[in-house]
Amino acid sequence: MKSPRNLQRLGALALSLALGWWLWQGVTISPFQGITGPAARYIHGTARDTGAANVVAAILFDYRGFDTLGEASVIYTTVCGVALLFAKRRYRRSSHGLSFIVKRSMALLVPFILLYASSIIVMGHLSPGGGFQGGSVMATVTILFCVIYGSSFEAARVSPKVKETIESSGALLFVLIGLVGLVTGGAFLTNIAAGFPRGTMGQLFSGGTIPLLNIAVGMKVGAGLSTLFYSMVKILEDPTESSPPEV
Amino acid sequence: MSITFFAFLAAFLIVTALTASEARDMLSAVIALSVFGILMAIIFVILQAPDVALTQAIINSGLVTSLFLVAYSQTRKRGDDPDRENDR
Amino acid sequence: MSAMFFGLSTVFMAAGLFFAFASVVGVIRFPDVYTRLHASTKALSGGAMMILAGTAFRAAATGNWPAMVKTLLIAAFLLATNPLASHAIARACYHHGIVPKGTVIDEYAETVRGDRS
Repeated sequence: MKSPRNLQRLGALALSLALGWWLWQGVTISPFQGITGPAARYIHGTARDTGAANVVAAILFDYRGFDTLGEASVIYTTVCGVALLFAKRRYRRSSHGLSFIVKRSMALLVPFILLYASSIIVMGHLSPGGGFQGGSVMATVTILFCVIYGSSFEAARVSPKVKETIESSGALLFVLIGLVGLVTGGAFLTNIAAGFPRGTMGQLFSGGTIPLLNIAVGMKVGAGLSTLFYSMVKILEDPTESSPPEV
Repeated sequence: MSITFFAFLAAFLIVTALTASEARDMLSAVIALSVFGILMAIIFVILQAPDVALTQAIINSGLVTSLFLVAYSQTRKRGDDPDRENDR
Repeated sequence: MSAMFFGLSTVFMAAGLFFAFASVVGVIRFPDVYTRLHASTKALSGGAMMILAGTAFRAAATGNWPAMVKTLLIAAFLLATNPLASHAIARACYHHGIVPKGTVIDEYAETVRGDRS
């Protein structure tokens, strides 16, 4: 039985086996045999150039800050597309959610989730994390609200207009911080050379523009992803059907 | 981290990926994709990339799964009765 | 002191493994959604909590107090969220129309239908 679909599957299997072998090679070599090339420059120069303890954050927001701006605009474009796609439908909101037990206990847990998200964003230059991760955790609060309390509760708490404003001002903040470097005579998104304080490595206030850019990206990603989910979920339920019992 | 544990994780990853791509039921495929994301996050932690692991865990198991579930419940399947179209 | 913590952690981890094994057996052997949910909740409530307690004792045995506090915090959050999730799943299953297998009296249906006193 040699149908084209089977051949396609055979090709996919061969591709996955090759990829798996490649990944296995990456696992079995020891990472500290000696670092060469650009990696050595980044690892040795991060503390001197940026003052950030997290090398990944330094690469994302300092050495390759312009790429991060591009990534953030990808999310912006996605949100715009989804909002346009779902704007023409009839606008419905649901106000019934899950039972009283779930609502009450989740009310106790949501502040901790928000605290965790803020700490991931603010500590992005010190520990693993950053704007993208913390913003995604923020956006899961929207999912919890929409599922547990109904999407009208979410719209009443944080209105979609406010979310759009937060997202746009996050993007604006990113570009403005980049323009500071341009004003002082450097390149776009210049960090230390543009006069931002380096601080002591390991302190909260260190790393020049990196924490500010983390906050900007966190605003953008959090508001953007929650707008994405909200605009998909707002037409989900039918308000004419009877509300489920509260017990 | 022992190499056998990593081999077990990789094998399980392949199983979940095959389930996600080959399952007849759409819902099973979505759940398998979510499990795939969690396993991928564990593997990223083993490979010393906690930033990527954090993103992977949140995005793939939380956001993408819920977006897929919302899209699943918003669309009509082929076997459904056609008069459901009137109420949306 | 350290040896005692070490032994305690081994005991807790063995108990957690027993809970996990029992819940796997339950998920395979039980007949319908509700009993399977009952079994699988124990995997987290009993098994994961016990294993986390064992991890906390092992961290205490090596004198790593921050790790112990973090592990206990994770256990507390699991304790807060896991019954919530299984409660929501069971309720959603009931309102989806899945009838519990082999039940004679359904008091929840009576409560839902009327005379909510």
